[in-house]
Amino acid sequence: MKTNEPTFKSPVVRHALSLLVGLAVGVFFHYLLFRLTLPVQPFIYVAF
Amino acid sequence: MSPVEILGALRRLPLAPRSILLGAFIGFAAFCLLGRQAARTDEHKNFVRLTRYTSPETLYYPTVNELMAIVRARTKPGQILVIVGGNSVLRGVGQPADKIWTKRLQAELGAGYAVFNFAFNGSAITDGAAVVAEALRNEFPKQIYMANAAPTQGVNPEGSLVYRFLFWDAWSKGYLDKTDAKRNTKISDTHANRAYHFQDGFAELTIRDWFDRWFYFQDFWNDVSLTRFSTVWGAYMPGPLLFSQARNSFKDPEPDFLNPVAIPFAARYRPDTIAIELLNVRGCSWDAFEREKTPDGKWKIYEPTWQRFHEDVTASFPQALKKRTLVLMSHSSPYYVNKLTPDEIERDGLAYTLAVKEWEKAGYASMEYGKDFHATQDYGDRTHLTWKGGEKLAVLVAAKVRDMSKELGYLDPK
Repeated sequence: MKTNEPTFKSPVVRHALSLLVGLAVGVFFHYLLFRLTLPVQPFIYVAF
Repeated sequence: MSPVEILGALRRLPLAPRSILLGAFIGFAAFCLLGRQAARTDEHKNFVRLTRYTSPETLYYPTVNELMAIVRARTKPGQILVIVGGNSVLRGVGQPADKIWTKRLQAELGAGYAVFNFAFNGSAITDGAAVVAEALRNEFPKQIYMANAAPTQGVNPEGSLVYRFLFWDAWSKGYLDKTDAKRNTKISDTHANRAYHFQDGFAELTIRDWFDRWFYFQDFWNDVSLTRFSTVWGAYMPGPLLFSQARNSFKDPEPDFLNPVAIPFAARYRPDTIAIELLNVRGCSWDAFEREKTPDGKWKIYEPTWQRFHEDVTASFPQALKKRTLVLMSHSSPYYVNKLTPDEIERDGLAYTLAVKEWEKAGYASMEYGKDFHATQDYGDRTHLTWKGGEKLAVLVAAKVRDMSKELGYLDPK
């Protein structure tokens, strides 16, 4: 059955693109760990 | 396009789920490895001290690895490591980077010593720099750690609320001595209160350090923030859009107390805050003695304060590191002290002398400074030194450090 879903003719392109998307997700998750665990309140210091 | 539409479009793409998972794993693992690499690399170019752009004031939280890397990159074999901690006084607030007191200290001590200023604004004696020194205790056994404090000031082994992140960072990575019974007991006592774990972000800190132990995201993204771009906005950044600049691109912004254009005298010694500052000065000895003198005209110590202080100093550092720790007792500016009554001046002086003895009794080295410094030329305000005062402090501290080095056997030829 034919559908309107886009397809990739080459499986290599399909897997390469999927890998790239996965890489971005992995990097984003690494950044997310850093950012979400960072305290949100800056330490305010006034000397003079 | 809304996030939901984007996700919907991605779902319609004929991607391979297993390849996505593989890619996510590779990407995450690669950045963890890069984080480990960053943890061993010193990216603090021309390091003099931690500035507001490399401290929690702008939501930059240096890691213990990052600070250890600074030491490793700059210490030559055979040098005695001198790590300066403490608060804004030793950080050199009001002293421009080229005239900061620790540069003078380095010059006084000479090439046999390597001096590092890791003091933070508002930090306590057991904060960041103390953690770095302890973490390097085996790698650099010839080391002296110093920090400043006020008499009878409380000491918490895991550091103050703002800066304890470094203690737990080092603790979770196994860099600290976990065998010291007295310190362990003190920490356990604090943590026995379950509420402590859910106050002031401690739970988040624990989670962060647990994950970071494996994934090194703090070191990696700090490295990126320092050298490439920052994604964290901070209230103290010089402009709302400058937060993204690499933290290394900002110059040390510390002004000069002795430049009347940058800081007029009236801003250093404000007439409208004299009463508050005098309260601060009185506070240094307020709880050290009974409220009134005894009938024979003597100040009698207030036992509960000194008992608590004794317990604090006993458990604040591992036993083995006490003798290489120098505690500096920072006097207030004579500008304010001399406005006290003669009895209060006497009490103030006694509190410092007694605190030095108490630290020494507990096994530390200790000294007081500033009593005979010039009120306005050496002191920039009630507590911070100008670079001129910093020069005097450097000379005094250098002599003490040399004495300590001799006593500790650091100068013995091997």
